[in-house]
Amino acid sequence: MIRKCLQIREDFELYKRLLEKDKFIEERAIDLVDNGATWRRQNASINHDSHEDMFFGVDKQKFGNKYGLKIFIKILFDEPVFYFDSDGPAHFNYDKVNGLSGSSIGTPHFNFYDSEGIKQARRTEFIEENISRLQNDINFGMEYFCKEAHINTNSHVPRIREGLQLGIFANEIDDIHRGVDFLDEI
Amino acid sequence: MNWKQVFEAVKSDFCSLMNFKVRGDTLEVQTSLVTLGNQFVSVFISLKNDVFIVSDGGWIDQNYYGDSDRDQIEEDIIQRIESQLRYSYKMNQVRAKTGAIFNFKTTSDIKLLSLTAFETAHFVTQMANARLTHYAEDKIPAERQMFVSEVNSILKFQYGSQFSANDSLDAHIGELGNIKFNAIIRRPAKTSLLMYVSGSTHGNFVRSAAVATINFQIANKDWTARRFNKVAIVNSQAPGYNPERVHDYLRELREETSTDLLDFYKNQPNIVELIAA
Repeated sequence: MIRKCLQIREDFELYKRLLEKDKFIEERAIDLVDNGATWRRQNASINHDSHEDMFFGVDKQKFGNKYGLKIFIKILFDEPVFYFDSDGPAHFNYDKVNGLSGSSIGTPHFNFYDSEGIKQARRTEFIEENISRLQNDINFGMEYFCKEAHINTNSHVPRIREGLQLGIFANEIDDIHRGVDFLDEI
Repeated sequence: MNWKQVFEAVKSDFCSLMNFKVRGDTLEVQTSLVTLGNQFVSVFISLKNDVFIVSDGGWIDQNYYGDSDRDQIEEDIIQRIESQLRYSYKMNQVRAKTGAIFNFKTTSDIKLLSLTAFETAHFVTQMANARLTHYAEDKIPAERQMFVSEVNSILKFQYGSQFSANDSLDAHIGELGNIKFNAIIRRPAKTSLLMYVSGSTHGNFVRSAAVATINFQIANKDWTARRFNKVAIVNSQAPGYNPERVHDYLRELREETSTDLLDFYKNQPNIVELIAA
């Protein structure tokens, strides 16, 4: 079963135009704030030369390195319409031409919508060559995201700042089972 | 046909979807199971004190597979589904120091490891899908909107300004003039009145067919509108469509239409010609 965003399909030219045009975030730095038990989040407005309401959203695990960098376009969808996932599940690219082979797109990857309004994922050569740095350094990811999304192309890319990460060291984070007391529970 | 060869090809494509990532002392197995949100389900395996632990990695709890907005009624439904899934799959839960809840199973027999991973992966798929599904009645009609929008976009492309969605016959007075047809196509030679039949549940589908029938009946009693084309487009992929249970309703509808009922998905390649016929 394939879910579609019909609004994007209907206004696909607008969707493409908004993603490809030059966009700006004014903030020099974006400070993450706690959101629930496991995440920190923040939004910032995106400025551009027409009236459609757009904003940037970032979320990052408090005790892990996974983060997401997202563009929202309110008139098209209440979910992000273009985003980068540093980690997490592989995406199933529904492909009527090539079938199953090559349909699994692992993280890190970009998510976007095609002209049918179907969400797809893609990995770039840059991602293939920088997987570990992209997964561990949100600001490295932010530089790349802004470049791909045409945000602050010729100006300072906002720095994402988070509070201190206490109690867990960076090299432990990727090991998803480390520090979880499974056997105490049984 | 060499069916064994066909089977081998299907099996090979299924299996080649699987992948893995080593994360420190934990193995991530990317399975070939996909959620309604088009994400592959991963399970995580580690070994401690000669016991294999297979978990969801805390990914359900942290919404890696997505989630939808819910009111309290839907929240209660989800809770009931989740507790039954936990019970059926005999899943354990633990809260990590990071705050994330892990669902997991264990086995100390390596022969049973794949079974444990298989069960965990199916559990994750069903949990993710339960969270991606809408339950409240007022949220479901989105399905009908999707169908309407899908049909309209094709017809609008074909007929341009002759096509008008959700319109009525203004020149007529009385009740006929107030009836909203899903679409009217005003070609110089002939006007077509269109009704779309769809529904998220059996009840909604039947109501949709009944409204289409009545609207055409009223049009057929009008001395000009009776000459117009009356076309019903049926959503055979609607969740509420069950041919065995709507047969009589659709036969009544067919009595009022000018052509056979059009199955949108079966007739899609030439739906435009069929409407114009």
